Amino acid sequence: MAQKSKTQSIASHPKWEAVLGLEVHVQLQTQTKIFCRCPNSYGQSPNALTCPTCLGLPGALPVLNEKVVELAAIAGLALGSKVAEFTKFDRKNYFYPDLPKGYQISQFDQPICEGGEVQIQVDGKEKTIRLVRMHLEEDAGKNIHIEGKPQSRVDLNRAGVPLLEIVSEPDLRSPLEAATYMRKLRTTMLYLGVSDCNMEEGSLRCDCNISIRPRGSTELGTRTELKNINSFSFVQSACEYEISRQIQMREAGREIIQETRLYDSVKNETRSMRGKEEAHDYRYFPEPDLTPVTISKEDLNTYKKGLPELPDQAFERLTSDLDLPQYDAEVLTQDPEVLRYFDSCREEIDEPKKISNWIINDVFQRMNEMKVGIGSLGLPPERLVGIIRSVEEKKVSVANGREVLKKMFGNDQPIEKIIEEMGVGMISDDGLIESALAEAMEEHPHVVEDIKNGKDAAKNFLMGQVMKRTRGKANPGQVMKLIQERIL
Amino acid sequence: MSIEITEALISHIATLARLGLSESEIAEIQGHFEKVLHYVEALDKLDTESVDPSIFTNDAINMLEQDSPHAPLGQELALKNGPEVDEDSFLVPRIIAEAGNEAGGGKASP
Repeated sequence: MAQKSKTQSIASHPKWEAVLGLEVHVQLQTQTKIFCRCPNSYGQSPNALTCPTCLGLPGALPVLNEKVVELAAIAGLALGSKVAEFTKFDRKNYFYPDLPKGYQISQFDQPICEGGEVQIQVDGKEKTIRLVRMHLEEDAGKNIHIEGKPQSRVDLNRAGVPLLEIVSEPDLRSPLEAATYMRKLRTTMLYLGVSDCNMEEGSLRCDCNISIRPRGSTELGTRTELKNINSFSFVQSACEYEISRQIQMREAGREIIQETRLYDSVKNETRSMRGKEEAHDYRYFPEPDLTPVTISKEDLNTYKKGLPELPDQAFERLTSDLDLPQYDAEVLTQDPEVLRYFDSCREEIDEPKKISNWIINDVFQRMNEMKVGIGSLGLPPERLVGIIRSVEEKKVSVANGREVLKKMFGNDQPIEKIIEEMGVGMISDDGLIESALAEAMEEHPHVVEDIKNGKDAAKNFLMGQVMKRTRGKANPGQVMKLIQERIL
Repeated sequence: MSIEITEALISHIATLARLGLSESEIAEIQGHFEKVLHYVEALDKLDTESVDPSIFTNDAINMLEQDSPHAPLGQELALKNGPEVDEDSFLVPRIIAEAGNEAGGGKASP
């Protein structure tokens, strides 16, 4: 909460305006790397997934993975970019131990996609964030710095993993907008199946370009660049810190230096990466080892026809066609796996709001506890529909139904049996309910008087007493009917 | 296209290439650079107004491969030529002064 109010204070700072642009790196979901056929897989033994090409051994030649072109074109089409008919690769030259060739194969002046836009919603307002371009490149390896050792380890399994870099215009005005934009990109890429966007594994990360300017000014201030941010909350807190730092500097009459800064999430601060300034001269030139690539109109049409429903379209369907509240639609459309689950439930029972309630409250709670996706809960959609039906058919109360559901994860016993074993089947037997009601009335004669005098709230109290005596199993409709009959 | 080859330019390029050059070497290389550039300057005499920049040496295009994995070299072979290695990784002089691991994603570009 504190974080949010701080964000809003920057968004509505009387004197300064923040200007942010993001470069988001998305690892593409392929079987193999971009320029060699080593497996593209996370979490393997260091350097096990390498070959002469991704090790940068002399004489090894790169060959482009055709799937990478397809995925980038699909991402471009979905975001309204112009997908190039002709595109090529370039060498970006710099030295770093995680880059074995001494250059990264990237795209410079003829990227695969140009333009495009992303719609975001912040504080109820729609905003369009324009894209400059998207280009393909190879990921670098991973340096592992060992505490107290004079050396660093290098693991090249990630070297050559395909990346799509999505560069936005400086259209973002607050850290919250930046985080929202990144979330929207993630959701879109997940819907497209272009990337698994697993942030813990580094499949989605971003660099933020940040500057401030006096409110009302149209010129851009000197920017700093924050590298390698790999969570939504870090995007927000890193930008917040950096904007405050720049405001403090400017208000103290100091200039902002154009530099790359590193965000330290533990200390929540940014630090200058000194000494790299001079190296910012990449001497791009066309990659002589890779042929240019053309993308035909026919291929583009095929990709276009194959585009799945996108987050905004799904949101529209849920709110307009299914009449779900905006909140529900927003939550259900965050993750395509959840949306598919919801849609599977709807094939069995036409109760969108009820399904939504169960998913958002109970299924999500379990997902958060277990830290797994909806598909790994051991609760197929038809089982969730089963418990919804049991409640509808008054075999169990809503409250007890939720307890039953807790026992259903990873358990394929018939629902009736779980209800029976828990002893929470709904009591619709007049005799049992009547005796509980009689007891309650005897114990609370004043409540009975209140009801006679027309106090409706007293009825609920009595209902509560009956529920207590039946451990929540009494059929509430029936209890109310009996209260009416006995007292009024 | 005459670029002035200054000592500062040579030093800058040497830094980018991670080369340590002595003053006399800089002077020597300055001469080499000037010679090479002068040689290429002959191209300036041609009228290239109607010629597209060439980005590839022949007409080959779309040399692509299917996305199906081949067996990688494997850890042992991969590390075999490393000047310094431990049981599973290449070892390099420490690059970042601060302690701690590079979290999640490494750098895609510096």
